[in-house]
Order: sequence, then C-alpha cells, then structure tokens
Amino acid sequence: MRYCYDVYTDEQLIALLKESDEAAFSEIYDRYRQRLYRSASRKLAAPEQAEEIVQDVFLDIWKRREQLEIRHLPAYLEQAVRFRLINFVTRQKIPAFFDLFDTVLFSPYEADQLLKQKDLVNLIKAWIDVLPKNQRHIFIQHYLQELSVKEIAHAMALSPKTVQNNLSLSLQYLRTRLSSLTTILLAMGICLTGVKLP
Amino acid sequence: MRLSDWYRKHLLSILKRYEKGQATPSEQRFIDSYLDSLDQTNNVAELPEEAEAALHQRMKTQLLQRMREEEPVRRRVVNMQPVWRWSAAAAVLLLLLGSGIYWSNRKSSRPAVLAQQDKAPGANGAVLQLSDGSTLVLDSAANGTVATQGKVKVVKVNGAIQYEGHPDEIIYNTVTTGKGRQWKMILPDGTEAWLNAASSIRYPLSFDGKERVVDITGEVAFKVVHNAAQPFKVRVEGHVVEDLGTIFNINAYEDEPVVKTTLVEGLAKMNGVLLHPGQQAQVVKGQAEVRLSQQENAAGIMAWTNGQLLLESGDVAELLRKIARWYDVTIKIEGPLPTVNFTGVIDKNVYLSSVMKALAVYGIDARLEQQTLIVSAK
Repeated sequence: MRYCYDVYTDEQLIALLKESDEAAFSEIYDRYRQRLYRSASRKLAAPEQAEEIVQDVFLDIWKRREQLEIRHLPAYLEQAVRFRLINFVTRQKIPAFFDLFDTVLFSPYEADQLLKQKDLVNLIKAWIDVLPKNQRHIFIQHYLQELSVKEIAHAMALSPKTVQNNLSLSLQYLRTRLSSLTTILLAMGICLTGVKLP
Repeated sequence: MRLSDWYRKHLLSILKRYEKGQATPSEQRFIDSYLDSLDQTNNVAELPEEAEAALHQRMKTQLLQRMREEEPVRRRVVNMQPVWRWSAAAAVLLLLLGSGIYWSNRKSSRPAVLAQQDKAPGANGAVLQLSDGSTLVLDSAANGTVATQGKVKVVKVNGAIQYEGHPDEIIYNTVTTGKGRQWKMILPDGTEAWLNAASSIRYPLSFDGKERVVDITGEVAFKVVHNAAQPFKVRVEGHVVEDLGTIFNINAYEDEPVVKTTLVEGLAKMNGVLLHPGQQAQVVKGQAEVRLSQQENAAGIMAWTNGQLLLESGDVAELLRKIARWYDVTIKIEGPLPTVNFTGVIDKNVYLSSVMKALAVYGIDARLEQQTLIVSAK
C-alpha cells in the first residue's frame, strides 16, 4: 500500500517538516525509526535505552524543525543517535560501552577475531592520536609487548606438543601482523627505538 | 574491566568534549572509529515482522503523545495538507491493465480553454464547517486567521488548517468535499483521513473522552494511530467501525446500495464483526447483517488516495457513479449496457474525454452534453 507521502524524497519531506507538516514528520519516522533503533542497539544500548535514544532524536528534530539544516537525512540522524548515545555513556548509563575497547587493548588476539585488521589498526591509530605525547610512547611499548605475549600464548595453546614449531610460526605471524601497525606508527613519526620485537 | 583509571578518565573527558561539540578533529575521529567498530562487532538480531510492527506502532503512538505534551500551547495541528499535487505537464497516461491496452494521451498539458465536449478532472478542495454552522472554502481561503470558535482560533498556514488554543468544551468541526474534490487531513490524534469526492467527516477539535469518535459520509480512508486505551470509532449510516490498529477504507455513498468497509492492514471491527486484512465487510442498506468477503485487491480499493481511479468492477453502473462524483457530471443511461468486467487503473488527473475513450474500448459509447454524460451501448 502506498501513501501519498512515501513518494516524497527526504529533501521534500524536510522542506515540509520545516512548515510543521506532521504527516511529513510521520513519514520520516516510518522511514528511519527501525534503522536508528538498530544503530543504537549495535552500540550496546539496552532495548529501553535504544527506544529512549530514538524518541529523543525524533522529538528533537520536531522541536527544532524550523531551524534544521539537513543535507543528508540518514547521516544526520545517525550522527544525532551518536550524540545522544554518548550522552548516555557519560552519564554512566551504558557500562558495557567500553568493553570492546578493553578487549582491543588487552586481548588483541580476540579483538583480531572481532574486527577487520584494517579497522583494528585504524582504531589503535586513532587512539594513539588522542593520547598526550608522553603517554604515546608508553602505550605503544606496552601494547606491542602485550600483543606479542598474547600471540605466543595463543599459538602454544593451539598445539602444545609442537611448541617449538608453533612458536617460530607464531613469531613469523606476529611479525607480519605487527608490520602493518609498525609501518603506520612509523609513518606517524613515532620513534620506535626501544621497542623490542621478539 | 581492566581499563586503567587513567585511560578511563581520559576516555570520559574525550566523550564529554564530543558531547559539547568541543572535541578536536582527532578526538572526533577516534570516537567515530570506535562507534564504527561497535557497529561492526555487534549484530542485532532482526525482530519477527509482527513484533517489529508492534514495536513501531507503540513507539510512534508514544512519540506523538510526547510531542503533544511538550508543546501544549503550540497550535494543535489538524493539518489539512493537500496531498495530491497534480503535475500538469506530466504526460497523461491511461492504463487499462485488463485489456492490455495502453494509451498515451497526446494532450500532455491542460488546454487553456476546454474543448466544448470535455471536462477537467477534480482537484483538491474542501469546505470546513465550524461549530456555529458557518462555512469556509478551504481551497480558496487566504492564509491567516480565518475564524474563531470560543477560545480557539482557526488559522490557515500554507494551505493547511490549524487550530490555536485548547477548547473549554467539546467543539465539532466538519470537513466536506463536493463532487470533483478530494482532501487529505490529519485528525487531532495524528490519524490520517482521506476524503474522496462528495464525502464528509465530523470530528471534535480534541479527543478527550474514553473513545475517539468521528462521523462520516461518502468514502473515507483511514490510517489510524492506534491507542487501545482510547479506541477509534467511525460512525457511518448507523454502523460502527472500530479500529484495532488499522488502515481501512469505508465506502458508504448515498447512491451506493451497500456500505463496504475494506481492511488493508491490522484489525478492525464492523458492528462487532472482526475483519482481517484483505477482507471486506458489506452491509446492505437498511439491513443489519454483516457479510464478509475476501478481496483479491484490498489495497487497490484505496488506490484513489494515490490519485488513481480504480476501474475494477463488474458493475458498469457503479463505475459510472464513481465517474460522476469525480468529474461532477450527471449520468444518463440510454438503453441496456453490455456486461463487462473492467480491470484497470486510470490516473485521476486525466480529462473526462480520456475516460470516455476507455469506455469505448469496452463497447460503451459516452457523449457529454453540458453537465450530463449520456451513456449507451455502441
């Protein structure tokens, strides 16, 4: 069943929304509610929290409908969900929010299973970027050590009978794996002297 | 959680700056990259379709309620937005699916002067009747305050009617479409109503009681904002149609022998008889018995809300009545007409002459004399 408003483009709906057209607002809601709910859920908001976030986002665009400057509606709404979600996090409402980060920093092997190599590297790179200079060096050293210890432990656990063989394999694996990270770190102009590769 | 206190504090301070819009570009990058990682690692299972629809409906009702609560002084919007925006320049396409015949009308733009034997299609328009009985033509009224009813001002903004202020008592208004007019409006509870030609709806300016009741005549389609605590009921010709989370169409024209309620989505009751999607409840005028029938094309019955005229009928007379209402003509039938099964959809924006050509394909001759369409077998 098609309704008159669903033939409108996002841009047309935004223009109507600015004129306080409730049916346009309703169509925007129908079009994006599920997507935003899922987006909040993926970022670990509990179902009630996801609901609250989505409703707040829509209520906000209705309230500010006359001042809205929206170029790309889905991107705008996703950004709004992110802001609202961060607001929940800073008020300690989503304790699980940092779990992934914890995994990335302290369980690199597990993180490697969860994230694509590229995304993992990007995330670590972005993290190093936001650290104060004196903290960067400390972090990189510790992280690389952590990584090597974990990798070796994992390799050994896989095949305890051929420890020797696996150890050398895992070292090779680790060097390849680390090379992309070290390349990036070097490209960032960070001095890696003192970081000992196994 | 093994994040050291220092890391945790650092993260929080970055998030707080992000919240205030004071984060540096690299801090923004980090947060976006972390949120992207969360998107990637956490798959959210899709809800079953029914649960998803129920969640959507519940959240929407709740949101509309919050909107109203948080803006009590705001104009209570009964947004009567004309929805059918004819594109005059668009080539007029007449499509007869059943016969497999396609025409494209060469007269793509409206002629300045109508040919003698033709008639323009209907358009958007309605008349608003206030509680004191005074009336207002909505298609021609100028913007601004157009009337006052007690404490409530009626304001026209960009073609839509809005009410300012909350009434002390229950005030009813009625919107009526004439022949050759249609109108779409949103009721105070957010329910959408489409009025076909020669129809009306009477509604209170605010739904305060235990149930939401409106009265209609003619043909009206509804997309109801469901609220189990305050059921939505339509009174028509002495019958009651009750919404249970629904999109439905009621056809109860004076000149039609049967009142028909067709359910497109959700659930509804007519005189207490439960309808499922795709079903039509029929009550012969003057009788009480509700008969249910399965409709192959229930959604098609609402095609008129999309600017289409559904020619799906084995009943030529019924089809001609439809044409009479939209083109504002009187029909005169001369002699017996052939029995034909029409199956087709026609754009409501075409001139009557195009419809006449379509009828000719089915062996029905039609000619226009002033305001009368004279119909006979070829």
